[in-house]
Amino acid sequence: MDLENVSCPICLKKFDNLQALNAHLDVEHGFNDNEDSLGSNDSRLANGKPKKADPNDNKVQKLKRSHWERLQKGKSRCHACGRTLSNDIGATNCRKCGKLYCRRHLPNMIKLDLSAQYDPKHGKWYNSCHDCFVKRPGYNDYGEAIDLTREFFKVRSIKKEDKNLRLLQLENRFVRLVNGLISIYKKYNGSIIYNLKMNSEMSKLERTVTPWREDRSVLLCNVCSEPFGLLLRKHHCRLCGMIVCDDANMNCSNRINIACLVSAASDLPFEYDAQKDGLLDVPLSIRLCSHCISMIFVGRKFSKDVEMPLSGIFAKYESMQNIFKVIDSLLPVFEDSLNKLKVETTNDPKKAPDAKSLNELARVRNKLLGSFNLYSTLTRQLISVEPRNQIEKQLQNSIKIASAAYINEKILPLKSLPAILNPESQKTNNNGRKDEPEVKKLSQLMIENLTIKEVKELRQELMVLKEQCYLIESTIQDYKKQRRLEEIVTLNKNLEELRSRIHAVQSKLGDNGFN
Amino acid sequence: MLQFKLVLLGDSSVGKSSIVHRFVKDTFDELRESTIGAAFLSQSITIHPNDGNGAKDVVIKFEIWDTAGQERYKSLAPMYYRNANAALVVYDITQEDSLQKARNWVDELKNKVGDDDLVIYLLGNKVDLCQDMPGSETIPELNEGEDDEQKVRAISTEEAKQYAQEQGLLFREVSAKTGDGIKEIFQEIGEKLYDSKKDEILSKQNRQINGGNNGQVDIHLQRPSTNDPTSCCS
Repeated sequence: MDLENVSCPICLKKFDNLQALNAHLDVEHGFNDNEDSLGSNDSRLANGKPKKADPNDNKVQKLKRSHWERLQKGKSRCHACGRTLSNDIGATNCRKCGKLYCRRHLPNMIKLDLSAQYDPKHGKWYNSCHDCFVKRPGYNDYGEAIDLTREFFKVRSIKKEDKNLRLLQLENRFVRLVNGLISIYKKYNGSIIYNLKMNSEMSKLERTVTPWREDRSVLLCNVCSEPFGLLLRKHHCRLCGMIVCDDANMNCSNRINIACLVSAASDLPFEYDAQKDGLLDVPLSIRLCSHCISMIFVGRKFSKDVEMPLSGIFAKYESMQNIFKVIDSLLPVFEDSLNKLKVETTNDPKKAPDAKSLNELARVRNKLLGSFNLYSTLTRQLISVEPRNQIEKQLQNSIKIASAAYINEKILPLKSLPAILNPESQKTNNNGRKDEPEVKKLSQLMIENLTIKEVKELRQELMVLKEQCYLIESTIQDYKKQRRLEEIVTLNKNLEELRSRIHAVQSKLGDNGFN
Repeated sequence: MLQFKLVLLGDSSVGKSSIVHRFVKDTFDELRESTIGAAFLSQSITIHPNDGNGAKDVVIKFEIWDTAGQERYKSLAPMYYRNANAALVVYDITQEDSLQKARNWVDELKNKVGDDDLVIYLLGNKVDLCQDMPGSETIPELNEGEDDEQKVRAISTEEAKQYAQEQGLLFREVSAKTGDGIKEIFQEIGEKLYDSKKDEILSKQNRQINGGNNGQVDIHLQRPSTNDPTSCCS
């Protein structure tokens, strides 16, 4: 901590040293220990030492009391907790607003002048209630805030610039190395001295691109810090010149085919193109340490991946997120209007909720249910996508769990609404018969276990079944007249079947059928 | 007498009811109203089995359930195709979609019923609209207002035939209007069903004859009760 440059924790004024700050605290903020400047609510204290010390000022120092609330025994209550004030819990006026509080709810102290107004400069410390404390000018809940973003960016930009320079250097070396290697290869490819010349020319080029570290000076791998030995041989990274090992498990360095490298960083200004110049056939590879690989290629791969269209589960997940947003914005609206309606009906049971708001409520609910359906369908589709690897499988599992939890959490209140509303409807029914249909309508809109769509389908089926039942009955009548008794047996069987089916559908629909 | 349950399925207005009426009453109504729910009709035919067993004629009675093709009546269909002995899946050769609908019906039948006992017959109806009859130029003049006469074939015989072969269905193109091929369908179904149930029927017959009840021969085909509450579709 820089003691030369201290600032006041209260007003942030700067001081050269601690003594100056101490003096400032004593004078400006009244922290002087010797002088009892803390105004006290305690009458014993007020009558005590300060009075004796300044008997002359006594008259002047008296705080305004005319606005204080009178204490009425057994009647006055604490304005914060509502308890009846007594000696046990204390009874004190807030010095600023004059309201009565119990001992516990007068925790704060603010500076007041003699007319009980807030005066941070010349006032003295008095007890105040939380309201007055919070309402005083200049108060904020979080204390003073200092914006250090600019400083942070300054430091950060220096770091970033360093990194960019380093990357540029590596990229330049990389381009030079690749260009050089390929031209050497083209020069000697097919000639007799290929084997003789290639290696020496190549290592010469590699050393001009970057100076190689002295073999003897390095004992540990630059990446994994394993000591070199007979089994762990030393290798040079061709870009940074550092000495690294070739451990297959650690991946400290790798020989990578030149064509792969060129196509992975195709934005760099190579003289050759991976495809055009037939680099795929060039049997050259470059050893790179993992640091250099990540420096040059990770960023490129990332931006390439980002540009690629989302595939499989990711596309599905994105649309799931969109639905999720819709639900998140709709749900509070629905809950609000429902609560409003409920409060209205409980406050005034005679008054029936008007049809307009009911319709609106039902509309929002439908929309919500539709969104939930879509959400769960998407989840199912996402799960059914064949995972390409282990990670996707894990992702699928987690999404499945999260989505199931989400739906369960959100849809339960949606479906249990009628349970909340039903007792109310019974209550209102007892009070007055005439609003029964309206309440019933409300509970009907909140169909219990079935979605609107299911109910529609079931109703349709019921209608069809009833129609058919009627048809068969009339056919039976006709056949009876014609004395075609054999057919009547068949028809009766069918009629029975129809009736049992009607019964099944009706019991499924419950109250939502036709009445 | 043998009794078989037969059901007609297919898209709306492909001519299911017309086929049934042609078969049962031998009439044709140009302006037939669309069927509501499922209509019940019955008709008997006689087949001449030549299995060397005395060549006795057999009377077969069809209980025909003519279902409505409209989408809203779709929920009724399972009740009628369940326990059916034969299903006629009808499409309209001038309506491309109707074959697709027919395929859906065939799939549903195979999934829900299983095709061991069920005879499925694929029928392309309305061949009269596409026949190159001599003097056909006069017909459009006579029925100038009607669209039907200008329609062209949308589904080739080969296409449907190939599909029927793949699925192991009986196949025929018919016309309910002219009655072309209608009788043959039911004859064919009757023979096929008789063949598949022959052993069962004969053994029963023999038992009854041996049992001394020579006066009347009463044969009931064993069909599972349609009221079984444990069955899957009830």
